[in-house]
Amino acid sequence: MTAKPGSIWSRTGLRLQLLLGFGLLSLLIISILMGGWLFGIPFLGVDGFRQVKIAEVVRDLDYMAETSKQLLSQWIRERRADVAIMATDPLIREAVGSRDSARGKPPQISGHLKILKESAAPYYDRLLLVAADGRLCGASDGAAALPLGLEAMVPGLLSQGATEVVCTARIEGKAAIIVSRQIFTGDGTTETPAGIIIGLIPPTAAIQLFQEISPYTAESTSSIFLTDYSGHLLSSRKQSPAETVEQPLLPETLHRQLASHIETTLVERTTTGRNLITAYRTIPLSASEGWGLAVSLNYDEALRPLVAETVKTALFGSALTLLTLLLISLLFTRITTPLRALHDAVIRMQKGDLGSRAPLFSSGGREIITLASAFNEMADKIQGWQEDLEQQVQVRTLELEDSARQLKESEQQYRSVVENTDDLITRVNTQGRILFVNATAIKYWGLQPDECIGLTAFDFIHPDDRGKTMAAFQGWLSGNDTTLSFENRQVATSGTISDMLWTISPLRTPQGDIIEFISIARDISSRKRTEIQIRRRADELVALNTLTRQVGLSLHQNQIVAAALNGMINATSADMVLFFTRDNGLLRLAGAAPDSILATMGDMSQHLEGECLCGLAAAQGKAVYSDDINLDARCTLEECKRAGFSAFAALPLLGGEEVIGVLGLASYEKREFGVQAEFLETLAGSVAVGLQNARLFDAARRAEKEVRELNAGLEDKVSERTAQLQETNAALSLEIEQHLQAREEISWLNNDLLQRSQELERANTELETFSYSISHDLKAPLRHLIGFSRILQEDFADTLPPEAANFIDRIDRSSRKMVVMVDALLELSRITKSVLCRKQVDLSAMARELVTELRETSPDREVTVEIAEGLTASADPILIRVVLQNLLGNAWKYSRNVPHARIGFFATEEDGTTTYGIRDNGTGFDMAHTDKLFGAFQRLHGAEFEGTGIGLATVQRIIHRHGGKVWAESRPGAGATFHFTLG
Amino acid sequence: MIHINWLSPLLVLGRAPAKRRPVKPVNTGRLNPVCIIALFWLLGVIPALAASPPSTSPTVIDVGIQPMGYPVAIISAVMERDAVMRRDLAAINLTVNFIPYKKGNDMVELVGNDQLEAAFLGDMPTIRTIARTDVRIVGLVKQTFTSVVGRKIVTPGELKGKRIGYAIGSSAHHTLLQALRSAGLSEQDVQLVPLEINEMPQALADRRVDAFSGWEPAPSLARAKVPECRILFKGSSSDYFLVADRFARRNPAAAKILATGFLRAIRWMQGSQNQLEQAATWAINDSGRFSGRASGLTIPQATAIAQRELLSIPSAPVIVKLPGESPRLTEEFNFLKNLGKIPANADPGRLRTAFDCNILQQVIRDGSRLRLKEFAYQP
Repeated sequence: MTAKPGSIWSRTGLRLQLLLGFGLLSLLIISILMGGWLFGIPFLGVDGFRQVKIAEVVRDLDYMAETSKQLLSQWIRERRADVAIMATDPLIREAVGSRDSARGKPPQISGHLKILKESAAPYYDRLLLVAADGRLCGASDGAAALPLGLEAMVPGLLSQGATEVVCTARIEGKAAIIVSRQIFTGDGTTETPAGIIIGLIPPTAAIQLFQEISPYTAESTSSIFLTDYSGHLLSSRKQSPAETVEQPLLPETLHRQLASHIETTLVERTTTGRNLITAYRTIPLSASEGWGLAVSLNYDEALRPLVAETVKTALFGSALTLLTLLLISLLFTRITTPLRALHDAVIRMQKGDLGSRAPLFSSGGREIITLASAFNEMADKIQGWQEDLEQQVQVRTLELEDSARQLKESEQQYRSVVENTDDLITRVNTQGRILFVNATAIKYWGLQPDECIGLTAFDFIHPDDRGKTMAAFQGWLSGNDTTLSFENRQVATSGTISDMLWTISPLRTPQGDIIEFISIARDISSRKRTEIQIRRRADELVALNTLTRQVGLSLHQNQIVAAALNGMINATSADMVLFFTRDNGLLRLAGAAPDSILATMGDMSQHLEGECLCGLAAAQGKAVYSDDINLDARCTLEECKRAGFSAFAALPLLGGEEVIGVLGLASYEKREFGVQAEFLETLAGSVAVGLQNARLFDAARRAEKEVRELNAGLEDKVSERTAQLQETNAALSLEIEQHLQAREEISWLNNDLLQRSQELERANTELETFSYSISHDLKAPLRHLIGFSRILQEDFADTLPPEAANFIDRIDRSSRKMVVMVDALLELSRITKSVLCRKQVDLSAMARELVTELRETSPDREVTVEIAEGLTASADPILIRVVLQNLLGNAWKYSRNVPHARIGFFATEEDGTTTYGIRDNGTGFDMAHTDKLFGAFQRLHGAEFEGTGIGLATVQRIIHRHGGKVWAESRPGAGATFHFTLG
Repeated sequence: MIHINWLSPLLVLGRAPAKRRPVKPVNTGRLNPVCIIALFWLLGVIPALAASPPSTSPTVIDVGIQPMGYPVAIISAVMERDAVMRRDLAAINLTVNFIPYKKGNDMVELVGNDQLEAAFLGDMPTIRTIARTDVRIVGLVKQTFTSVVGRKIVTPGELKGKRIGYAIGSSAHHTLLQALRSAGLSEQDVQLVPLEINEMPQALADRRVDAFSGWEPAPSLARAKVPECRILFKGSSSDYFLVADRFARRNPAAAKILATGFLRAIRWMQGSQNQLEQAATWAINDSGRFSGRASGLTIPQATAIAQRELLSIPSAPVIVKLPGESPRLTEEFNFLKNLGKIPANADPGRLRTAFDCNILQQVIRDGSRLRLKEFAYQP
């Protein structure tokens, strides 16, 4: 139980509480014990003193009543015996048996009756002798007639069977006890009475019997009542120690009970308010007669000892309670004194006296001594802790001050961060009202700090973005995400529109309710612009690829022009594109798009180099840009101005070092084409390559046409044409190589800029296909030359003059040679475009394998081959094998005329660079022609040594792809040494 | 009711001593098959017998007795063995059959229905019988007290709430009502437990009841079994020998012979202590046969009861009528009427009529002719 502060228990001491508790408990226990002793424990069947006393009273009263009843019954039996004896008295019998008894001897019989009465004194009032006819024969008092009241009873007393009768009746107005006996005088065979003898006894005679009975107690008075059958009082007597004899009146209550002929003991309240305890008895006299006997006591008097005992018990209980309380008080004083001392010590300590200690009382018991000791120890510890604590407080105070300072600095730093960050930081309430903005936001929005407070965050959102922003915000509130991120546009008071990235986080109560939002906005406009640029760059690359593919698929100039116009329009979004070709100092308009604008511009068919912007680009070989041609003095022609264009770009189309055309881009809007210079010039490069290819293709077609004309004409023409064709082919090869190199550069550019651009790879593949297609297409007319030459040799050999047959044979051989050359050229192209895959390669082993293969081709040759051991290199295994195959093959080939051919493969190292070398002691060559040594189709030897002139060109290309270089040293007849390095 | 001899088989079937007590009809909802067969037999045979000549077989007089009550059991035991009476009845073509009952209440309706010609009844059954039919009180059979015995109960007031065993409708029931009234209680204030008289001492010993109301010898047996019990109330009680008025008017000679046998039995017991003990022995044996177990009462106890409650009473069994006296049952009659135990319209004057008979006086007067002093008892 916890006492409420201020309650009576909280203000009462432990000793008093214990005293009260144990006092009440003692009182309760003593009361129960006293009550149990006094009233018993009914459910245990234990009688209390009260029950015992009442039972004792009842038992004593019963004894009195029973004794009285027995005395009275005995007295009646004695009276019956008296009368029975009288009935057998000879004189009595004679008196009633004589016919003249009534007449002859009344005086004598009366005297006899008197004598009998006196002998049975003092009970009988009188004795009467009555004859069978009812007449009085004699009376002890000498009366001559039956007393009043008895006459009516005589017939009954004389009736058959009424041998003896004991009853009561009122005789002469007073109650009397009648004892009668029939008198028989015959031989005993008849039962008809001759008369009766009657004894009249006053009831007081009966009640006097009770003088022999002791009163109930020495202090109390008992009353005895004798009643007749109907409960009428016959006699009564009060028994008291003073032996005062009086006849008490019969209470009505007792009268009613006596008339019921019961035997019991009852406690009753009389009409006068007295409580009586009465023992009732019934004394049967005959079949229809009986007396009632009641012995009554004043109940309260009878139980007076009980009251006294109760008082004594209460006094004893009270004394016992007081004694118990006294002992308990002493005991608790002994117990609580140490507790109080401990309490006082605790209070002193509570008030700050840390030096307070509890005294150790030996009377306190082990627990309290232990408690006091524990308290003292605890106080010692607390005092020690107090001292430590004070020190710690001082230290802690300093730490807190330091922390506060740091916190302040941190807060200032935080505020500095918040205020100086480039992000807009705001706090808004749940209604969207701004509670705080940092300096960046204030500056951004162009408002004063107090102007921002109260505005809503939506006030600064671009009107077009408010719906989207609100939807995102509502969706976030209904979802489970902790933060919301979205982008929108903000409009500053200055009208500046910025792209912002918002991050919003809620501030919640511990119950999870949102109270505020913290929003951080970052200006992502520059990022957006970068993204746009990247996207535009990607678009440009796509457009470049598209244009390159379209141009690459076109073989005719017209197709190139159409593809370029269309591609440039799409790639640059220019309003108009002009395509000029350069021809002998003039720029001729090859095409323009759209045609509708061109039709409105007047004569744009040709320019002079150096005239206007396109002419300048053609003359200078570099792009010319003008943001506004109307203000640009370089724009000398008026057609574009008249057409309404503002910006213009003139892009030269370069075929190698030569300007082969110009692309002009015009825009109605002011536009800085220069910012896209790289892209535009790359586009122009692609168009230039296509235009160049178209021109080469035209040249090839023209060459084919000329060959066909030669076939139909003279051998000279064939030779001339063949030579031209060779030149053309060489130029074509060179152009193809340049084209492939450009493709590589484009590919590198694409890989560098768009590493994962699939479109560009596809374009490269298509470009490779294009190269192959070109080579394949070149081989087709050659096969026609060979085929037709063989037809001429086989079908017209008989008709051809020998000289013509010789020419045809030469055409055939030349054509076959050209096929070999084209194949070599394709091989060179394949090697060039193959992907370089470097690995660690054992060059010594590879050289030995190749030498073995060479020996197998010329098993009869004796060639000394010296291959240095352990030569390795990081190179593409396939390409480096081609290098060694060509160099060892050349050494093997050009040493075949030497009797003791020697070939060596070695390596030297200088400045960390490994130089490999292959030497032979073959025919060698003149170093004056060394510049032609690695050119395609360049040969320093005649037909005595077979070859295509591509081998060393291939070697050089492979070495270059590895980042190395290759050179040769030789003298004619002294063999040659080829050196190479690998990057 | 006088039964003709040819109905004996039916009577044997329908009213053997233990079966001849339609006091408490049992409504089983269907007829006893034996009774149905007997009914058919009766319907078929009666017309035939009605036409046959009267039988010479003796007519049976049924007398209800109580073997469990003393001294009634002693008187009836002696009467049953009275050869003189049987001869006198046989002389007028009658025979007597003594039918035992556990208590007088079982005989009230039988007397009223003429199924019993005479009976020994206590005062309460006597009052109930008088209230419903005309009877003649022959003489006093017992004048005693019926006791309320309680365990650790001192006064009647302590009976409140207690379990009290009683025999419903008996004189002991009347005594219990008196005891409760004396303490201002009623039947609603106690728990009444119906018990047979011979069960009461053991029930008190077993604590099944806290008290009981019964007549001798139950109180004496209880005090012997349970020392701490005591008699807390006694109500005076009288038993009577009565004959049905119609029987007495129809056959006054037979009624006189019965009354003579009754008075002869008492005179014989008064003749000597040995004769009284013989009578007590017969009664105890009869009680044992009737109840199926020993009565627990000794011969001295039985003779003492007979002496105290009958033989020592002046003029007993003659009820002497004196002027001014009212029948002692009058007060009980009114008491029971007030309690609703007898009909509210019952006439107390019937009591005086019942007691205004002088059969015993006539017997005494004609004692010689009726051989009143001739004793012949067959064990």
